[in-house]
Amino acid sequence: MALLGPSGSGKSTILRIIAGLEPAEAGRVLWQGSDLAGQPAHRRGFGLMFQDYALFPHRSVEENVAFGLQMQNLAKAEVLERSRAALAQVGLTDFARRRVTDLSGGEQQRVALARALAPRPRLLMLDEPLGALDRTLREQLGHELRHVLRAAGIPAVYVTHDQEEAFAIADRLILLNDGRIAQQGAPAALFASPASSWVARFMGLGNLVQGTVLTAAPLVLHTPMGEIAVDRAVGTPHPGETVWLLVRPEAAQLKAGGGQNRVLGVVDDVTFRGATYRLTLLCNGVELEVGVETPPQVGSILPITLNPAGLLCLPA
Amino acid sequence: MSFSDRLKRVFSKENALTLALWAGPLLFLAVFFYYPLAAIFTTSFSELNWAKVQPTQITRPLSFTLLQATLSTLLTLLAGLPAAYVFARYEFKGKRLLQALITLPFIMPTVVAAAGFNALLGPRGWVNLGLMGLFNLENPPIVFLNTLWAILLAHVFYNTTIVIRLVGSAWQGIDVRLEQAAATLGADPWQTFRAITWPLLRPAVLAAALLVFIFDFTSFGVVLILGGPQFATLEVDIYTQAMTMLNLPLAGLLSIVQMICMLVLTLLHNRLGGGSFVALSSRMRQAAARWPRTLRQKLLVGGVVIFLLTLMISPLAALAARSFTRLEAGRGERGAVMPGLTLTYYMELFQNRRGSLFYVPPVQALGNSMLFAAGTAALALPLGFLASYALRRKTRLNRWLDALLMLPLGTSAVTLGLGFVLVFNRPPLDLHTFAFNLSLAHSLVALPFVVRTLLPALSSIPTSLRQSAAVLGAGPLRAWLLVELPLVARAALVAGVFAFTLSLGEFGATSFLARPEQPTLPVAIYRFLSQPGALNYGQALAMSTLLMAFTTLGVFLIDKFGYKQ
Repeated sequence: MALLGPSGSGKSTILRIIAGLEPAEAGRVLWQGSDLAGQPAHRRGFGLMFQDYALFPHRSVEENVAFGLQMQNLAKAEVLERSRAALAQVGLTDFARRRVTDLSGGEQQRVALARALAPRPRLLMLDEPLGALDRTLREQLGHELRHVLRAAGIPAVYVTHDQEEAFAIADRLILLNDGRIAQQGAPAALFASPASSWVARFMGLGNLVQGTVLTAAPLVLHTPMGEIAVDRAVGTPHPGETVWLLVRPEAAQLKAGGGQNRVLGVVDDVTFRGATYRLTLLCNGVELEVGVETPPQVGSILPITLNPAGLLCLPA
Repeated sequence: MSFSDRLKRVFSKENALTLALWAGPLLFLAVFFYYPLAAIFTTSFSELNWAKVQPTQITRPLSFTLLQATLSTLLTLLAGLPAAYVFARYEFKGKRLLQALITLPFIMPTVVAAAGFNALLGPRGWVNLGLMGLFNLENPPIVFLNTLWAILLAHVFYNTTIVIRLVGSAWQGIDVRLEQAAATLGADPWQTFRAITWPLLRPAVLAAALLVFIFDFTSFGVVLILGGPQFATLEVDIYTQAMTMLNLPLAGLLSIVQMICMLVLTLLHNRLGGGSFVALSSRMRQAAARWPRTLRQKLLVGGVVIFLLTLMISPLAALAARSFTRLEAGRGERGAVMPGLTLTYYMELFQNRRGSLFYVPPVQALGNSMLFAAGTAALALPLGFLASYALRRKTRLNRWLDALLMLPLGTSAVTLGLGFVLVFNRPPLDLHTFAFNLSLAHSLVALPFVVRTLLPALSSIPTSLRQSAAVLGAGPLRAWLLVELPLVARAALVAGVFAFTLSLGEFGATSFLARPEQPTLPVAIYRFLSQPGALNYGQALAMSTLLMAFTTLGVFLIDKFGYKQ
């Protein structure tokens, strides 16, 4: 499960409350039906991987990983064996004797993961585990992390502000805004039908254009781009209501000719994106970002058609 | 590199300029520090009658010094560690004020601290007079002065701040998330402390303990005034041997023992300095101090605040209050005393009661102190400027010269005083004539501080500033006057106030060097404290209160205009 939200939305605080590091001002933390209030962090058996890893600087890699096992008063041989196994799990077998201060950011991240996993917690929480890493390392380690979490078979709560990361790792998403749940569900469901314009904007699902409802059935909106027919809506829009129109980048088709949802746009900017080009179009004061395969000239006027299936009407 | 090349490098223009700048400070140090120091060695080795020296004459003061320093250090840690924890981890009302208040004891002259404890716990102090009044007692029930407890308590009073500062900031630097990580891994609070917090804190605790030990080891005024003659530490014994027994060679020998101990301790301290752990990640936030929530936390914070106020502030407050209060019969008065506020003790400072030619009214001691303090500032500041300019030039020579300059810092004031007594006993510089000025001795103590204040300010002026002034047509002198001087004026002011305040409260060297008819304020306080009578006592407290006020003002100015980095 992933907790997704902008910084300051309360993700880390929720983790800290679950872990027992901070008391909740309201609400309860339940584990298999029993309230955890009053149970200190060290008796909960939950693992937490801190944002900056919080590795113990005076202990070696192996000593860091072994810490949780030592706290369970396990026999020395078992501590050694299991911390070795945890290190092997994250591919750091050869690093056991190193000082954690000598490790790179990616290596520190793996040590932190191994340390959190080694005591086999009932629940593992990860607070922006990839946040401190650069982009390429983030993708690589994100992939490994997913692998390790699946293999360990421990339920995990994953906090991030990066929606791609959340989509990639989570079975279930909880979207937080300002301490409240904005939406929750499977990543694909959130993608298909965001509950509000805030969700659509935060997840970067596409362009948002303000408009008013002309007719409810069939649903037609009045926007600065003209009258637009829309296939789907969240909630039940009434005529005259102010709404947001979500235009996904793939909804725009470069097509000459007349017909429904035809919009004229001036090409403002073209960015190369590998397989496609991203165009910024100005359509009567509204900025639209769309993807195309062949780049037009900047400044040229382009007719596009918005496919009603790629549009979504959202409440204001 | 050929020999002549090497020679050329040593005698390069750079080095020549550096040496020229160094000439003034070095000459000063040579005459007023290294020469007296050398005299201590030669005197004790050439004039000492080894057959007459009993080993116990060395071992007894040495072992007592070690004993009291060890006990004082342990007690100081006991007092300081909980406070360090509270300051590092909790937020509470008046925290900043308390933080400022607890630095006061550390900077107070020893005579003020001694007078403060006297005003609180001495035979005429608040506690004893209060108990006597309450229970109708004839004699003061608490015997505090001239006990080991007085020495220990005063040392705890002085040095608890060091523990709070050093250990507190180290504790603050330990990311709370390390402790939280340990908790999520199943460690209970005690295990967390033992396995995580303590190992990370240990270097700071050891460093603080050693520093406190050094201060306790060299403590002079406190032991002399509060401990009395039966508790002779090395420092006090040097003083007694030199000034009372007139056994200068033995005093010199004790001084040498003392210096060797200091050298070992200082080396140990420098060794420890590098043992701290660095933060792992630059993104680690400063651990946020929290408001106490549970009853236990509130009790802990409240207890520490009350404890600190009692230990560190109450003696100073008692001193000031007692100096304005009449509580017992004065000389020649009979019958019931009207207790109440009075300015008598302050007015008496201007009187020459004894009508004696040799008696100096206390207000004159204040004048002397001011004069010497001004002289110290006037002497230490130019010397400090020269040395700072020399140190700013990055040459290899400087490391050695810097060490020469800093050495007086590690030498006790008593040793300095002894050296002066050995050397300056004939014209042109004779301790017993007017030609000798206490400012000379005080400047030695102040110089390292002055340099450490001026140097950062000078170094922070980019070379490009001087160069652009030159490009704009200013000659070196004008560039200095119009560009550099205004930029370091603040630091110079701070350094000057520092030297002034230091001289005002200096007791160790002064007790050797002050002429009887020309006492300074601390010397006069010491004399009045050791004389009987309510009036003498009151005057000592009044003078101590004045000295406390001047010191506080000086430190306030330093803090206010201090060089912010």
